[in-house]
This record gives sequence, structure tokens and C-alpha cells, in this order.
Amino acid sequence: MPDPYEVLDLPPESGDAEIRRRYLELVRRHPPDRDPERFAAIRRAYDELRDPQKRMESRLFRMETDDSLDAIVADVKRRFRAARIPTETLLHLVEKR
Amino acid sequence: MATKSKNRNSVEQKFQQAQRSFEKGQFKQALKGAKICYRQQSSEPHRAFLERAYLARGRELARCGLRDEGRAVVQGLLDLGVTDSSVQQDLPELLLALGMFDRRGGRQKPPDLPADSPLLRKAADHAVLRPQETPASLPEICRGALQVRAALEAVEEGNDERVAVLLKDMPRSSPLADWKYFVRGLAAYYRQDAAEMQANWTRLDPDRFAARIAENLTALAEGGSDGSRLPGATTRMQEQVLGAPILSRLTYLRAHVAAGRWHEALRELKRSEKTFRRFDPGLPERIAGVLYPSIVGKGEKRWLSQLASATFPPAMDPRWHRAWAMVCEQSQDSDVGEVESHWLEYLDDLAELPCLTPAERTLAQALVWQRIGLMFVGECKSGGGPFGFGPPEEYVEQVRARTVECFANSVRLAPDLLSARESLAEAYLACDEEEQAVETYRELLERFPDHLDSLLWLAYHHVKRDEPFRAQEYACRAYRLKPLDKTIEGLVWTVRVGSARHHALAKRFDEGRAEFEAAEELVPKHPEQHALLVRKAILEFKAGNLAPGHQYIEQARGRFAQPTPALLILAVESARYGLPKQFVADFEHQWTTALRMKCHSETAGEMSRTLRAYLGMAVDYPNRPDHVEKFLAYLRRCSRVRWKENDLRNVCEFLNTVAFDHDIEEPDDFGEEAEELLKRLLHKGHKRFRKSPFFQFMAARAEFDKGPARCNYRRLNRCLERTVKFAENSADPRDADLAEDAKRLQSFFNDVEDMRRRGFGGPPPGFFEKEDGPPLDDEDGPFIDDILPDLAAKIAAMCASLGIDPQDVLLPDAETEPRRRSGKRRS
Repeated sequence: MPDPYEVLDLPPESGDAEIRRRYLELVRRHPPDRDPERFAAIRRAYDELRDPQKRMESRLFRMETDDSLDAIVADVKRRFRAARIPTETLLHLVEKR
Repeated sequence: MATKSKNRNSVEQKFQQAQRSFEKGQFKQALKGAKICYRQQSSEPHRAFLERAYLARGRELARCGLRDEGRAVVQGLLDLGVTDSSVQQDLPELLLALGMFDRRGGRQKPPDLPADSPLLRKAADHAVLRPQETPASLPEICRGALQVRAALEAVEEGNDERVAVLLKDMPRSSPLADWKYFVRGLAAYYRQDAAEMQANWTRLDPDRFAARIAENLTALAEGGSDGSRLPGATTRMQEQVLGAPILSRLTYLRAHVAAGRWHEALRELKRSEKTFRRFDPGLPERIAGVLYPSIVGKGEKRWLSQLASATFPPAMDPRWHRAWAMVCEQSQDSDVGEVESHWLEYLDDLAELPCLTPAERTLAQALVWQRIGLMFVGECKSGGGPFGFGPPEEYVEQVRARTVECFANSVRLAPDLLSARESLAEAYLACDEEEQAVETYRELLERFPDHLDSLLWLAYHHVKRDEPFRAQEYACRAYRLKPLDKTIEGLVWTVRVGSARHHALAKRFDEGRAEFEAAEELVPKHPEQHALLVRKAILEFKAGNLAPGHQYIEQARGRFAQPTPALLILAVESARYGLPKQFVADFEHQWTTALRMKCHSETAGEMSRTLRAYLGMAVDYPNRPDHVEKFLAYLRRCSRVRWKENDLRNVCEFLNTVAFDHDIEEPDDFGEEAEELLKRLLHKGHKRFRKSPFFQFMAARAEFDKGPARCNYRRLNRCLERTVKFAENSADPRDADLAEDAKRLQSFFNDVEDMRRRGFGGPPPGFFEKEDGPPLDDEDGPFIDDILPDLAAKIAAMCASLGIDPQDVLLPDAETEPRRRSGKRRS
């Protein structure tokens, strides 16, 4: 089961209002007729988080995560790619193998 | 002469030594030696060697970036003059690298290079690297290199338009054309346009500088994904852009984790933690969050210890106590005490956790208490060893008491936590504290008025205690929640009928009649309609209305082929309704007389159902043992009955209850007799009703009861398969539970059969004979414990789930019949 916080792209300490706001926003973006699978995932995540007890259980005991080292590396690579390498540094690569 | 010779030898030795140094790559030593040799003897070989040494040393210094030193060495070569052909061939490239290209002709003007000369391409590459050192003799190269540099800077600024302008006039034949493709590819790289990037970079000459840079960038963009390391050359790039070689370290970490090298992975995390945190303050926690599940899931304490020393704890677990508790839960070498201690520490942490609001802290603590309680529940259920030789009863009681404490704490902290209340009630029941359980269910209903399970539990509880008025409140509420549920409907019916009896006992006859009417209205065609009619009759008798009473009795008698079932109920209920002794005796006599009639399937089946209901609900009345005895005698006479399936099933279920249910108080003799009858009738049923899931299951159970040494696994499995198959096609609601029991047994025996194939075949002959004492009998329990602990534990667990005493199943002496001694067996 994916982490509901990750599905809704919220930090774990989000409150009721924030969760609901994000849920409505995502549902507008992924309505059931256009994107049924994503909608279903969003709804499941919301159901898990709207109940304060389930939410707290998730924060306390949930160990599984959708995150991975691959995703972390990909994020860092994205940051790297987005930044421009100084020309001298680039040319310096010629001398290193 | 001798001196000359001696000197000659010395030079030769030095020359050989210098050559050896050269071969080993010690060019500095080689050059020094070569100079000495040439100075002492300026022969052709010495000169050629000196020139080669100069060249090699110059190259070495250029490679190491010691350009000034390199230039000095190469100048020495130029001053000496180059005669060796190989040096002549290689020197221009070195001169290019050191920015001394224009000195290649010495004092003469160096010759022009052809347009397609490889040297020109190298000159172009060096010019881009160091435009200020471009040879003056190559002005075109110099201009082109400056253009390329400008284009590179434009790419760095993100000004792609300027890049296009700068490079548009560069012809394909230009030695700098390679750089044009590189710059275009670089712009595409930043735009993350992989296709455009590849289209340009695949055109690069692999031997030239641009290709080397492109290779590193491509490796950075795509590499590491297969777990391979990133090129070392990218380190400086990462440092420039990210502040540190973050990607390289992440890639090492990932490679270690993928290969299961946790120690190395965690060591890398510790080493890089500060670097990661400087780059992104949340990165170490994110990495820990990824590693956490694996570490906890594997129950590896040593890894958690390493993780805890490698990074800061997560906000929700400031002292890692939660992590330790969860790891210990999974670990093979931890016990509940250790787990509990960590959770208790975590409870203290939760009390002041800054990332939670006060309300959240309380809820969190309640959930943790609940988790501890559930852990203890599991501990009780695990039962320890087989055959009841598990942990001492005192320990189990302590654990149960602790379970109650935990759930009580949870409820106290979070009164709205439904699951904790449910668990608390169950914990009280496990401790045989029924009154506390009742109180808990009542409190639960105050908070959750529509909690069906609680309503039903309380209803059944009061029915068992013969408190129908109290039961009615809960049963009716449950019925309002689920009016279509037949079980609840039946419960309400039972409660109404019970209430009628109580009204009758209190001489409130109108109220009693009203209850009967309500029951009839609820279920107009109840299967126990005859029982209702009998009770109505008895109420009328009690009210002094004999005529209507007799009418009801006639209606009840007419519902079956023989009046015996109705007369049984009449005999029982007349006593329970407190009719005068004369009535009771008369009805007893009528039933006893009717019992002498010819045995009949329907009669036996109905009476079995009736008596079993009284036994199962622990309804006590004065003549109960007598009724059981007489009915057993009746059943003994039923050897020639043409049984109907349902009737025979009811009879077998009744006999099973009498034989093995030790909550009833009938004398032990009945048990043995019932067991014997049961065996006979089950055998008959299995033969006649092959498609009955009930008889297939009972046949399987009979095999199971023979024990692992004598059980025919194939037959047992066959019976279970048939049970499942027939039960799934059956309309009888009782068969649904049967299917589930059969599937559980099947799964269990698949494991057992596996073990059997691996070598279990029963105890060896003579095993039971002790050399120095009497033979082992079934009082000396756990020999199987010694030789087959896994199998024994599995068997005990299965017995527990079916409500069977393991002692009855797995006795060491294969010749001894399983005895009913302790425990319960429910069908």
C-alpha cells in the first residue's frame, strides 16, 4: 500500500484542513471519468488520512514507503541537470578520467 | 687502459640502469641517467635514448599538470635537437599540449600544417582548453577556439540564441567542428532534450577532447542506474554544482544496499551524513526513511544500531525507541519484555513530542498501548510448547492481566478508540472476568450506540443467563440496524419467546401472549414453530386455559410424522414454566411412551436438535440427564432407520456435544456411550451421504484423531477436498463454517505432509521402553516435543484453532485410544 501522504504529496504533519484542500485539488485535476486509477488512489489515500486515528496509526507504525534510493538519486540528478556547469569545470574534465 | 675500460663499463651500467628506469616508467630517473650517459659518452644510442627520455618526461609532466616544468624539459630537448624519428613524430603533440607548438621548427619558421592534419585537430582541442597558448602560427584556430569558448559561456548563461549565432558560420570541415557539435549537444543536455543531445554527441570524434567531456556528462545523466559507480571525473563537476560529490556517494550507497551490503551502506551513510545535510537538510532523513523498512522488516538490531549512529532520528522518534521496539518485534532473539520496554520508553517520548499537538500525543500514546496489548494477546495465543506443556499457567495469567492493563490504558487515553475498547472486552473474557467484559461492552455502546458486535454479544450473554428482558433491548437494537439478517432475526425470536416464559412465570399472561405474537409476526414460518406452539400451550395451561392449550399441543404434534419431538419440548418446558408437578409428570410420561414408537429419522433428528439446543445454551432443568439418557437409549435402537441426511447430521451433532462438550454436566458414562454411537453413525453417514460436506469433514476429523503415526494422510486430504467442494455448493449456512475449517486443516496438513516426506515416519520401535524404568505411557508427555518440535507445535496450534485438546490427538502410545479427559471439542 503506498504511503497516503506521498500519494497526496503532503508532509506527515498536515492537518485536516490541509488534507481536505489537497484532496479536492487533486480530484479536480484527476476526475474519475478522466483518470479513474489515479482518482481511486487519491480517494484511498484521503480515506486513510481523514480519520484522525488512521492518520496517527499511519504516522506511528507505517514503515512502508514509496520512496527509494533510485528516486532520491533521480531527484539529485534533476537538480544537477538543472544547474549550469562552469565552462572551466567542464573543460577540466578532459584532463580527468 | 684499465681505467678507460673501467669507465666504459661504468657508462654501460649507467645506461642499462637508465633504460631499466625508463621501462619501469620512472622517467625522471631515466632522464637523469640518460643525461649522464650522453655527457660521458655522446654516442648515437645514448643520444637517441636521451631524446626519448626528454619526450617521456615532458609528457609525464604535462599529464600531471606541471606545465612549467614540462616546458623546461621540452626546451631542453629542443636545445639538444631532435634526431630520433619517433621523437620527431611525437614531439609536435607534446608541444601543442604545452603551448610550445610554434617552437617546433627551432629557429626556423615551422612548416604549415595541412588542413586535415590530425595535429591541427589536436591543436584545435588544445586551443579551446587554453586559448592563450594557441600557437601564433595558427590564427584561424585561435579565432575559432575563442568562438567556441564564447559559445560555451553562452550555454552556461542559458543564452541558446547567442550560441546559434556564434557557431553558425563554422564549416563542417573546420578542425573545431567537433566542438560545434559538442556545444549544441550541451545546450540540449541542459534542456534535457536527450534526442538532440544524442544526435549531436554521436557525431563526436571519440579520440578528441569533446567526446571525453560528453562521455562524462552522459555517464552522470544516465550512469549509476545499474548500480555502477559514476566516473571519478564527475566529482569536480558535482562539487562545483552541488557543493559536494553527492551523486557519487548516493550511487555508492545505493550499490551497497542493492547488493545487501548493509554494513557498508550504513558506513557510507555515516561518512556522508554531514555532506548530505549541507546539500539538503532533509536528505539524510529521507535516506533513513528508505532504509528503515528493510532494517525493521529484517529485525536486524545491529543495522539499526548503525543507522542510529549514522544519522539523526526522525521527528516522530527522537530517541529511536520506536524503531528499536519494531525491530525487536521482528527479531528472533528478542522477547516480549524487551519489546515492551522499548515501547514504554517511546510512550515517554510521545508525552513531549514537539511535532504533535497535545491531542495527537494522547492519541498516539493510546495507539501504542493498544499495540503493546495486542502483542501480549499474541503471546497468550502462541501457547508456548505443544501438548499443553507451554509456559506456566502463572505466566499466562500474568500476561493476560498485563493485556487488560494495556488496553485499559489505551481506553483511558482515547475513549473514542473503538478498537481498544473491543480489545479490552476480549481481554477481560480471556481472563474469565465476564462481568468486567459486560461493563466494557456497555460503556462501548454508550460511545458507539450502533456497534453491532457489542449489541449481539450482550444479547447472547443475557440469553445464556436466562435474562431475556435485558437481552431484548440489545437484540432489538441489533435488529433495527440489520433487519434482513436472519441470525439476528432468530435471536430476537428466541428472546421474545424467552420473555414470554418469564412473563408466564410472573403470571403476566397477556404480556406473554404479546411476546409470542411478536415472535410469530417477526418470523411467521419459523423452523421451530412446533416449539412455539408448545410454549403457547404451556402458557395457557399456566393461565388455567386448558382448551386453547390442548389445541396448540395438537397443532404442534401434527407438524411431524410422530408426536415425539413436540412431546419432548412439552416435557421440558412444562418444568421450566413451573407447571404443577402433575402436568410435568404427565407430559414426561407421554414423551416416554412416545419414545417406544418405531424409530424414525425425522423424530430422532428433531429431538437431537432440541436437546442439543438446550445443552448448547446451558439451559438447565431438572430432568435433563434423564432425557439425555433416554434419548441415547432411543438412538441405540435406531440401527435400522432409513436416515435422511439432515436428520442424521443433527443426531451426530447432538452426540458430538454429549461426547465432547465438557461444559455440560451429564455424567461421564453418557460421554463414552455417545462417542461410540457417534462413531457408528458417522460411518453410516459417510457411506450413505457421500456428497454431504458434514460427513466428509467428520471422516477427515476421524483420521486426524488417529494421530500422525496412524493417520492416512491421503484419505484425510481427500475427505477435506470433498468437504470444501460440497460445502461451496451447499445452501446450508452451517456448511460455510465447515468449508473454512476444512481449508485450514488442508493447509496445515500440507505442511505436515511436507515434513513427513522429509523423514518423519513415527517414533522408532522400542522408543517407548526406557532402559531403566517402566515404559513411557501417555502420562510422560513430550517425547514428540524432543524429536519433532516443529511438527508438534504445528499440531498443537491446529488443535487449538479447532478447539481440540492436543492430548487427545497426539499421544505417544499409538495403541491407546484418544481419551476424553480435558478440554473441549466442538463440532
